[in-house]
Amino acid sequence: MIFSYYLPLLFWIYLWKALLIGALALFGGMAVWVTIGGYFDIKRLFKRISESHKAATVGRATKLSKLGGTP
Amino acid sequence: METAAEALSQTNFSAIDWVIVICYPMISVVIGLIVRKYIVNMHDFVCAGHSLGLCLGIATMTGTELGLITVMYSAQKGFVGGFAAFHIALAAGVVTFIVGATGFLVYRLRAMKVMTIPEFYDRRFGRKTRILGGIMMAFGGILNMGLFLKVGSMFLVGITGLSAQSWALPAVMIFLLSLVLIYTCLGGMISVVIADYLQFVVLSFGLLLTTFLAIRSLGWTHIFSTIQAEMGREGFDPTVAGGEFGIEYIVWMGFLGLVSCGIWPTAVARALAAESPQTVKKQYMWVSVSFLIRFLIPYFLGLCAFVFIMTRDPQLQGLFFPTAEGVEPFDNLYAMPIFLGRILPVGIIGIISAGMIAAFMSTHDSYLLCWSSVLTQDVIAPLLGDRLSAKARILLTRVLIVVIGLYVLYWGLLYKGEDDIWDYMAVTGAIYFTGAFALLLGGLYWKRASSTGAFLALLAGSSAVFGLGPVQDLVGIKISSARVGLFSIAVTIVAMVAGSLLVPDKRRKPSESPQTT
Repeated sequence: MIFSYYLPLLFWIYLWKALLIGALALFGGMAVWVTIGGYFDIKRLFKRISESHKAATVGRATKLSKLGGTP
Repeated sequence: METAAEALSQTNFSAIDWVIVICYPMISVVIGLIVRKYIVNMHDFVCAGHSLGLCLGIATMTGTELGLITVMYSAQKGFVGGFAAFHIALAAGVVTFIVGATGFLVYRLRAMKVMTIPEFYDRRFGRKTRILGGIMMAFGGILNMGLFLKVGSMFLVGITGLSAQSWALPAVMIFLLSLVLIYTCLGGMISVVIADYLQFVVLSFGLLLTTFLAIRSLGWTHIFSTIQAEMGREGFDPTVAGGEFGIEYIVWMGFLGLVSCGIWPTAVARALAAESPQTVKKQYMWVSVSFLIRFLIPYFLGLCAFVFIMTRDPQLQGLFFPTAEGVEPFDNLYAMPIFLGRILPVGIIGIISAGMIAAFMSTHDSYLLCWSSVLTQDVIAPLLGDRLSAKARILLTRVLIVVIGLYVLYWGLLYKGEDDIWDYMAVTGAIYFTGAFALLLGGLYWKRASSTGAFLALLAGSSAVFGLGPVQDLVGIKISSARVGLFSIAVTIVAMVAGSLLVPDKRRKPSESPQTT
C-alpha cells in the first residue's frame, strides 16, 4: 500500500505515542471541568423542570377559573 | 497447562471489592426512585425537558457512548490489532470535532425541535417514512445491542474470577439486566442523565488511573518493543494491505465516526435534548475528546493485555495462542479483564469494576429507552392515529423496555457468530444508519429529496445485513464487513437520488422545510 512505502515505521510509533499522551492529558483536564460543571447543571436542570411544571399548573388553574371551574 | 477456569480464578478481586461492586448499582436504582416525581409527560421522559446544560450534556453523551461494551470490543481490537487500532479512535475524535465545528446534521436537527430522528422523517418526508424509518431503526438498533449483555457480563465474570464455563455468566446476565430494567423503567431520561453523570465521574478517573497502573506494571518502552517484536509493522501501521485493517477499513471507520456522533440515535438524542442549537455545537466539539478516549484507552488496555500474556505469563499464552493442533484458542474477549484482575490492587479493582457496571448500566438504559421510545412514538402511536394519551405512551414505552431487555438476554445466550464484536456492531448498526445517513443528508440539505427516494433508501439500508458472518455462511459468500458497509452506503445514496429524481414530491408546505444554520 502506498502509505506503507512513504511513511516509516517510526512515524507511526511517534504518532501513536503523541496521540496517547496528548489525549490522556486533555481528557484528564476535561474530566475535572465536566465533573464540577455537571454538578451545577444538574441543579439547574431540576430547577427548570420544577418551574415549568409549576407554570403549567398555574396556567391550567387560571384557565379553569376563567371558565368557572375549579383547578 | 493452566486451564480456562484456573486462569480466570487468579485475580486480586477481594471481599472489599465485592461490597463496592454490589453497593454501587443500588445507588443508581435509588436515583431512579428519587427523580421519578419529575416525570410528568413524554417530553420529560424522553428529552429531559430540553434542559441539558453543556457540562451535563458532555457527561451524559460520554456516559452513554463509553459503555462496558465499548471497552470490551475496543480492548479486543487492541488485543488483535495493536497500536494500529488507534486509527479508529483518531477517526472518531476528528470527525466528531468537525461535526461540532460545522454543526453538520445535528445543528439543523436540534433547530427543528424534533424529539427523535423518525419525527424528522415525518416532518420532512411524511408519515409512512416515519413508520418505516422507526421500524428500521429499532430493528438495526435492537439487533445491535443483542450482545451487550453477554459481553458486559463476560467482563465481570473475568475480572471477579468467576468461572466462565458454569452458572456464572447467565446468572450475572440476569442480575444486571434486572437492575437496568427496574431503573430505566422508573426514571426515563432524567434518571438516565444523572446516572450518566455519575458514571462519567467514576469511569473517567478510573480509566485514567487504570492506564497509569498498566503502564507502571508493564513499562512504557516494553509495551512498544513487545508489540513491535510480536506484530511487526502491522502492529502500528493500519494501512498495511493484508493486515488486520487496510485502507478500505480506515474509510469505513471514518464513516462510522460520523455515524456514531451525528446519526446514531442515542448520541443524537443528547443533541436533541440540549438547551439550544448553539449548545449542541459546543457540546460536540468538547465531546470529541471523549469520543477519542473512549476507544483509545480500551485499545491501549487490550494491547497491554497482549503484552502481559506474551511476556509475563506463558501459561496464559498457551491458552490464548495454543500451538497444538485441534486446540481452540480461549475467547480473547477475556484477555483484558484477566489482565486487569492481575494488575489492579484491592479496592481499586472494585472501584473500576463498579465504574464498568455503571458504564454497562448507562449504555443499557439509554439504548433501551431510545429503542422503546422510537417504537412507541414513531411506529405504534402513528399506526394508531396518534390517539394514545401521554400516560399510555409512557406505559407502553416501559413495557417495550422490558420486552427488549428479555430479547437481549435471549440473543446473548443464542448468537454464535465469530465476527469481532466491533465488526458485528458496525454491520448490525449499518442496517439502520446507512439509510438514515441518506435521509438526513437529503432531507436537511437537498430540497429535491422526495419521500419515494427516502423510502427506497431506508429499504436499501437492509443490504448491510449481508455483512454478518452467519448470513454470509447462509448465502455462501465471503466479503469483508467493511466492504459490505461501504457498498450499502453507496446503494442507499443512489436509491435516494434516483427515487427523488424519478418520483419527486408534488408539493411541500413552507412550514415543513428545515431551518438553516
